[in-house]
Amino acid sequence: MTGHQSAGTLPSLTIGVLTRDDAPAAARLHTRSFPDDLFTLAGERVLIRLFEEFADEVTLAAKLEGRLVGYSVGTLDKSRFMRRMVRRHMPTVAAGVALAILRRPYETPGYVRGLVRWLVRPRAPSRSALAVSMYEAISKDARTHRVPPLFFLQLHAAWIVHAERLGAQEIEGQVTDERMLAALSRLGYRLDRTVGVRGGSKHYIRCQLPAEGVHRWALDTHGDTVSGPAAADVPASMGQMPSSSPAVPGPRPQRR
Amino acid sequence: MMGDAEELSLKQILAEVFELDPSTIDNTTSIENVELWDSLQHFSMIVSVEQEFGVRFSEDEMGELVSYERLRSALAAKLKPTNGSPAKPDGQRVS
Repeated sequence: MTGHQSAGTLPSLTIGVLTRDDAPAAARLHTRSFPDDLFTLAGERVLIRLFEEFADEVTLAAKLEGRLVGYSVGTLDKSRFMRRMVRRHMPTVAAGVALAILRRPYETPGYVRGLVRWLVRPRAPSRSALAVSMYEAISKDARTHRVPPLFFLQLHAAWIVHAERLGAQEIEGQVTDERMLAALSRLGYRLDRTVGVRGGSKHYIRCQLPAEGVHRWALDTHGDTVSGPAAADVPASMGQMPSSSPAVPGPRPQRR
Repeated sequence: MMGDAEELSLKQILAEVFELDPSTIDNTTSIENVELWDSLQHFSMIVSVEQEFGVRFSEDEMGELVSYERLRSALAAKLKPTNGSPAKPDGQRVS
């Protein structure tokens, strides 16, 4: 495959862990990507706290010439993560939830149903082996000719590899778009169950690790940069995290 | 080979995914000049084409399908019968 730009003009795309310093940019990207999400409706302060807490979890951030253009975040222990979020930021979270309800009062029953679903959710046989993919977002500003056309799936694949290195043996996530479900099946995700939600369906998906296809898809994070914007120029394997990135946290006890 | 109906279907998929007027889609339509053609929509477009035409693109192919012209050519090659047998997808299998 040939690139869309000459090598001399390739922007520098880097993949590394998401840090606390990235939280404001991640919050802005989240707001644009998920305008109807509860955390978005809860306001920017809650989102920034959320991403600051994610910085200690399983995260990857993609930056184009230093600007955040994508992230994939999740955790190995969602229950612990959410408890910590509430405990550390109770006033901010409480005010945010109140704001979200004020903004979308008709969504409140949905929030309650979601909370109930989460409380009675099926438990994984081994809590220590499950990583939960919570959000992935790609900046609409990152025109595809400046990042690989397969950027979204490649970044998520890199995140799965990252989670695997931290001890995850299974990934759990959810999507609402049928086409996204089909795309993620390329990485080894399988449909677990589907529930009806306001305006459509929510598909709960799982990916057993090691997944056969993941390493082939993952963006290469070795050496700090991913080669330019052209799809075929992107290495198909994932190396070590860039040395300039913050240390990748070690395995930790898990969730869900 | 692609007939007129198949070509129209292909243009309609691109029109729907990228919010374009089908009549404006031609061989110059590409990732370079379509505002909504980002990596998320790229996958939506590919999955839609796969589902509509019953084909499967490999990961290498998916990275190449960055214009209508390339997409049309790749799809035509997959739809072309070989020895009387229907074309087979060559991507990964989904259970």
